[in-house]
Amino acid sequence: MIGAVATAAIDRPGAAQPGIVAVRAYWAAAALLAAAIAAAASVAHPDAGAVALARAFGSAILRDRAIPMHLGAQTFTAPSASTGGVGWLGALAIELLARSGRATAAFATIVTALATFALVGARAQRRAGWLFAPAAVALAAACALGSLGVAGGIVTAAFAAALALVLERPGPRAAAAATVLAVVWCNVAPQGLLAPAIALCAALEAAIASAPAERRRWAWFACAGTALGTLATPALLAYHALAFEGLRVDRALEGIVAFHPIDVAPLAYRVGFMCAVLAAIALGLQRPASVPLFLAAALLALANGSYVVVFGVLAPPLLAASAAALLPRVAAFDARSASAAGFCAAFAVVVAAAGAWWASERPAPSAPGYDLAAAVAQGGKPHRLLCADVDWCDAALAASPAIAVFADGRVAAYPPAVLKRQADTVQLKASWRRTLDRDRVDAILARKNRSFAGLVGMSPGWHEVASDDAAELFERAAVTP
Amino acid sequence: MKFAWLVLALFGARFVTTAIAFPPGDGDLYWQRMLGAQVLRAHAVPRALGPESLTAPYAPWVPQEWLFGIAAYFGSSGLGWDLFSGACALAALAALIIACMHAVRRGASELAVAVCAACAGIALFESFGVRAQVAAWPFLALLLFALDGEGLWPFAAVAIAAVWSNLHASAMLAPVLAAVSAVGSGLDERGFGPRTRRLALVAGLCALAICCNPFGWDLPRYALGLFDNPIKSYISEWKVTDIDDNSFAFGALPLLLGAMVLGTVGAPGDRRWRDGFVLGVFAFLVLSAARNVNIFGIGALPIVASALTRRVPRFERAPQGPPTDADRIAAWALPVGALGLALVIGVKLASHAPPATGLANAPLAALAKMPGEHDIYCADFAWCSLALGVPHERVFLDGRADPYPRPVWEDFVAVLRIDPRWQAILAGRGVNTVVVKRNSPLDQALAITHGWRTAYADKEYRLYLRAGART
Repeated sequence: MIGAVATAAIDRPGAAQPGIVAVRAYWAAAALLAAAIAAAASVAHPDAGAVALARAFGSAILRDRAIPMHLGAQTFTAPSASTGGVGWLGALAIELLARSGRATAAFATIVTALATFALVGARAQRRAGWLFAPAAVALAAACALGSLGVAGGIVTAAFAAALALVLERPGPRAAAAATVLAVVWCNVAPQGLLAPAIALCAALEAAIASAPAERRRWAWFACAGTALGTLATPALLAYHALAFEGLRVDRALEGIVAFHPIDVAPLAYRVGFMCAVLAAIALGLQRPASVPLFLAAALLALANGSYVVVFGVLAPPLLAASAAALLPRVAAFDARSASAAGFCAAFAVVVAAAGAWWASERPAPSAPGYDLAAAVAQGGKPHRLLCADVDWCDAALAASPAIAVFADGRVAAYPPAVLKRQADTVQLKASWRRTLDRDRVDAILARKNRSFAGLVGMSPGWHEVASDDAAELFERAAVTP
Repeated sequence: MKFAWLVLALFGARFVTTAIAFPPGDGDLYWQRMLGAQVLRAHAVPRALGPESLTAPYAPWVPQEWLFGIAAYFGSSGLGWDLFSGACALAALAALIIACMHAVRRGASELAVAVCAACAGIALFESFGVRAQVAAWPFLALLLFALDGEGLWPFAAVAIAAVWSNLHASAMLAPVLAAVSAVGSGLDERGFGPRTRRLALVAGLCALAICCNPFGWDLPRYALGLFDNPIKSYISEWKVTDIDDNSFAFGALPLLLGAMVLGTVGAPGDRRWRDGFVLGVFAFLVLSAARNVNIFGIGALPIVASALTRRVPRFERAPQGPPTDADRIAAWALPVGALGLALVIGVKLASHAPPATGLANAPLAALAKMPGEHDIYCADFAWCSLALGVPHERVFLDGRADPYPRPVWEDFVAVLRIDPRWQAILAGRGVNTVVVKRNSPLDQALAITHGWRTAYADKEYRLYLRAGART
């Protein structure tokens, strides 16, 4: 897979001609790397909250033949708040995949992961030659640990990798392709807002590197195209504000969502990000033009750990280029071989199919907190639910249309005042009991063994009815309006 | 250094003022004073907690900060305090000055040194205080200076490590840094060359030097034990570094990003891998725990400043000519001007010193006047350091933190999180006094729990006594 894209990518004049054994060994290693990625993707857990929300959203689109533009009656704090329909295409895709069966969904996820890293490999091969490309892919994969499941961030990484590859060589076709990619990405997820940022970095790279005027011009056209592409969503001009909040990097959401890499993507941070940092300290960026994209990706990863995977697809090819600049003789290794690349691609597809079959056969992984939220919703009682982790409420919304929640994972749509009430309540600020009474909350899903759960459990009228590894469910008998 | 002096003056003013005029923000100072008094009284370093601990009396303890404790004892108040706290501030400033001189010796330009010193100074900001680790900072800067030197300079690291190990367990870094320097040097020399051999020997000697203290091998063993010690998850300073930490975001992060962009291996010179390995250790540390932001600043300053000078034309050194009159005047005027600026800033800052409230000083002072035996649970364990040595008071957990066994920590956190067992834990451990922040979760829980009464309250804190406790 890596080679299939890479073979078509570039011609490197003057490359050394290695022996056939070395080329075969190279492609065998690439095939093993692809198999490892496929295996990791097949055992990865889906992002339960995002999947639940996307499925609820997607099924509503299919049912109503229209995109819901407001939060609706499923929230009692801001039913008329606008969602702008952000992410409608991604939600539709996830729902259709889920309806087509677990094997198909797993296969699509594994193939997306493989395609993403193939794009990373192709970009690294363009910049650093054949030998450093698999190293860049391995580093990128390490940054994706924990993000390879359905809706776990791999789609964002795929779009980022594709856009970065397209923008490697600015021209009319690249500008058009980047614009189309941006339009699709913006309709798939709020992370589409990153498209013009990546295009801007590419344009700056062309400018700093003093690329030919023609290329510089097209790089800026691509930047403008991707910026305009962000307007081509149902939210129109409102997309930017909604998508920015949807990126979950705004510290105004402190206490509502997790930001820190160690909380959001601990394995990717400890292994992939740390290795990338150490590699960067050693290698540096031998091309100053690469600095804007590298710094932007690093800061994004530190701002929210869910973007360590994006850092992983953007930065390693730049580091591979540095390694190639320091070791030009190694970089000159040429592993071009259409047959070996074809074999590698076929092998990757077979491994993906096997992984998808295995993933569909094993029991569905449990998702503490989410499962309890779904159970509350399916319990039949008309509840007004507050979740300490807003993403848990996504599972409740997906499980039953009858339930209403205080706030859910669509944090971008909720008014700041509602989010502040949510955070103040969970953090037990002075007004928390008033908020529960005023909003007539009659069920609370609190994090297990935390102060909020302890105090709710001690409060008159509230009693614990269920718990799992992550959450405790409290209900109250009667509410005084 | 002429631009750097201005930067150093700003930080020096801030350090001196906050150290002397501001109340101590760290509860450790209180138990360190008690430790100092114990050492002076018994002419020996205690190796166990005392009966002032309610939950773990006589638990084994490695009081690594014993020398600092003696200084803290003498610097309790008046002129002693001014000298002691001022010395801590000067230690922080000395660390910056040594790191700047190190950068200059490596060929960094004035501008690069000034910019990196500003970042390193910010990196020191949040953890600065009258604290043992601050007193250890200049030893780190000196160690790096020595390891990077020619000839016999690296051997000075051995003496530095020995003294450092009597101040703080961070001396454990000495053999580690010497060892990675040796490995990096081996790669630079492409073999076991003379510099590599020297550094390898220094690494071995440093490993022995850090045992030159009253604890011997127990100190490195204690430091190694911290790596997988679960209590770290309960201490905010050990939390993983976050971009929201100002010292990281505006101090260490620019240096880290600079190091990542500039790289070390591709640079000319004979320190490429050595710099890479040393910086790699500091990068690992800074991304692992917030408490390492400061040492990253000190460690990265010389390497990043010299890399900036080499790689970025704007930071290149100006060609050296014979000194002009203007240069001679500037050489004196800038440090003197910087000192004047520091004094002005210091006086200004000192006039805004907040009152001593951050360590539950008032409720604990009120408690000391209440009759009876008090077994105290402090919602922030550092507060309980103020109760150490107070007659008739014992504490659940205090700022000494490390020697308390894991079950004590688990119980401490369970109470703080209002775990279903919290009341049973307080009763089982015999706690009859609780100090909490007003309106904190535990305050709210105690307020609705039968058997507790408010004995003291102010705008920030509340003190609860168990109803029926002897008072």
